[in-house]
Amino acid sequence: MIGSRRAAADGARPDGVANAPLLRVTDLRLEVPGATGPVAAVDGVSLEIAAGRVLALVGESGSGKSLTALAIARLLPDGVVRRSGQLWFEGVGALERLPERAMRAVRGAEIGFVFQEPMSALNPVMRVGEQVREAIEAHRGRPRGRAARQRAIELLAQVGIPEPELRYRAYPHELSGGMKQRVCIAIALAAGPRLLLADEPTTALDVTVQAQVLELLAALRRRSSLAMLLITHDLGVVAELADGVAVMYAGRVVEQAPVEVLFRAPLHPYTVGLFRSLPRLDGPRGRLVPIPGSVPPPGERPAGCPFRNRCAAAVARCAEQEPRLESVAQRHAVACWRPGAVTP
Amino acid sequence: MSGGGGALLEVRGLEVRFPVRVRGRRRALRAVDGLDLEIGPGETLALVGESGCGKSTTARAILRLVEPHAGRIVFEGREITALRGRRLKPVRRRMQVVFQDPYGSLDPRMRVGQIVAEGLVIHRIGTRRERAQKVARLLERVGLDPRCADRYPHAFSGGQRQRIGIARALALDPSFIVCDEAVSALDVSIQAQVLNLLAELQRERGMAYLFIAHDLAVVRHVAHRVAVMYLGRIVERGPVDAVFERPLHPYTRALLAAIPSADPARRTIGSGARNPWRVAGDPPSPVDPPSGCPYRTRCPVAVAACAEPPIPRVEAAPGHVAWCRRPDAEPAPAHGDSQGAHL
Repeated sequence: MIGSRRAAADGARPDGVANAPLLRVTDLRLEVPGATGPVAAVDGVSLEIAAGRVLALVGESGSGKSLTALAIARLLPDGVVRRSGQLWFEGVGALERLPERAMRAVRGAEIGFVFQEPMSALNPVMRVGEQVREAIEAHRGRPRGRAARQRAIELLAQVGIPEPELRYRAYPHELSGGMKQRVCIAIALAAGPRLLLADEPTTALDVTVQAQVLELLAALRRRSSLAMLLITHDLGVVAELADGVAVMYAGRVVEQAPVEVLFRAPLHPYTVGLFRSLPRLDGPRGRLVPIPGSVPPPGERPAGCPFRNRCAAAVARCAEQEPRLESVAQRHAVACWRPGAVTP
Repeated sequence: MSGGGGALLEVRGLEVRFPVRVRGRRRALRAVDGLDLEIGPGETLALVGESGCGKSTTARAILRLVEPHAGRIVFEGREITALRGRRLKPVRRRMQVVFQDPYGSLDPRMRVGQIVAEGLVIHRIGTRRERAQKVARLLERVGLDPRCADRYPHAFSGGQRQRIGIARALALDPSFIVCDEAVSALDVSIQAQVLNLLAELQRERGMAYLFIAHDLAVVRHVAHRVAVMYLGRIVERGPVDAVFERPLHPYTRALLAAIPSADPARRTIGSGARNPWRVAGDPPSPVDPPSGCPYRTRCPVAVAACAEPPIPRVEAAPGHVAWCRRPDAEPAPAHGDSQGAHL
């Protein structure tokens, strides 16, 4: 087996050994420029996703969840540096060592992307069908010309776009937000990837449209065993779609568990805080219990546990030593000196 | 409630149209299409509905930021629909707004103190010293260090900026604040802080809120009453518990059915047991709204008669009203994947 620090898994392997992961991220560290030199924005993140499973990466702005996804795709913005970490993709190998040319083939063919803002992900002056066709033709051995056009229309139909022949000729501005996001999903699927990186894919959508897009993602995953890294701040979306959850705070994974375990028995005070500050349709109405303060930016994170300044259960040890992510039960890991000290 | 009685704000028959061109032809987009609402002192009315339903335009018309095409707006016992210039100014003091985008709604070239004091300066209230004292008190009240007054907005996080926006709204002691998606852009832990602050301020100062939001769980937490908008009209309104627990209108049911379950043991997505009220596709264009009930083209229980106006008004309980011909109809059970992928 590889690496001793591997985190509790994503729920794919009940015995903790069986099927090998599709993607394994080990000890990822990303740095951004700070006032006095580089500071860690992502600090020692390890993740695994098995084929056909959905791992949700949950956290608030600044937690490092989007940077983690961009690092997997090797699309880090200028100035952000991968200081360390392995990105192992089944059948391809170490992504971090691939030349850019080879990586370009992996993007699309193995790893597809869907982002929050469908409008900015699409080319505004190109017909949406042509954009899907372009994504199909971009990869070697794929259909071209009329066959590619036919395949694009099939893809538009698959993602639930009505009258796909007609919509093929539409420009992005002629489509609603939900339809644009479906086009983005069609583009992401064009070359048949095994992993979809979905960064807040429904955040910009209305709730009825969000439900439709979540249905689509669930159907894709079920029928084509597409694995997903689902990045979201919305615990409702997590509950609906994820198998496993990794909760990120200040650049670290602070808790990881199968979704039903995390929702039933969260152990990290931050995870508990997220649940308690969430207004619910079914729970009691009264006052919400917010987490005091806000996420510290990289470079201003406290020594020891990065959450201790906001934590109701913090003790002296939390300031002295940083807790590592450790298993507390099968497939449930938490980085906390006092797991369970704050109850939901 | 035709006389408005104790209402702080009363809106009757509000219409807002925008000129648009559709394939070269001039048309009217009916953003708000005959809307009635009232808000009592110290009350929170939530206006919910999807993007494009006209909820923000309704608020902007009430604030007199867009011209209504028809209708009456009565605020603090006075009709303000046609007031302009100098006569509108005293009204503006009493109604304020907190916007969604904490980054775009504060002038980056002004110091926080100037931003919060701007209304006081415009209305020539207090001396410079008194204004500075008031700004300090307000900043403290919304949970910021009074010394923040000397800094610029860029130095603050999204949640802190939203607190600055709230302090600015409070400066003129309004009786009414429009919160237009005021917490939607905030992270959940920060959102809870700001929602609690808004609730405290309402208790202290007795202000009324028109709370525009798309997140129904947030609405259930903050609102006393809720009005559900669809294509420029209110299709259902009532006390928040009544509307959420015993919804009458199929569109209200669709909105509630679309909310993720927040419990992985009770998934609705991909479970094959799709809620039959869940709605497919997108709303029709407000340039060409359907005749009769605006929701009939997507409604699972619509019948031919739904195309004929007028739409019956149903009152399930005092104050809980919907406009629907078939409020008791049940749809046929749906199948899991009817609108998912067809792989």
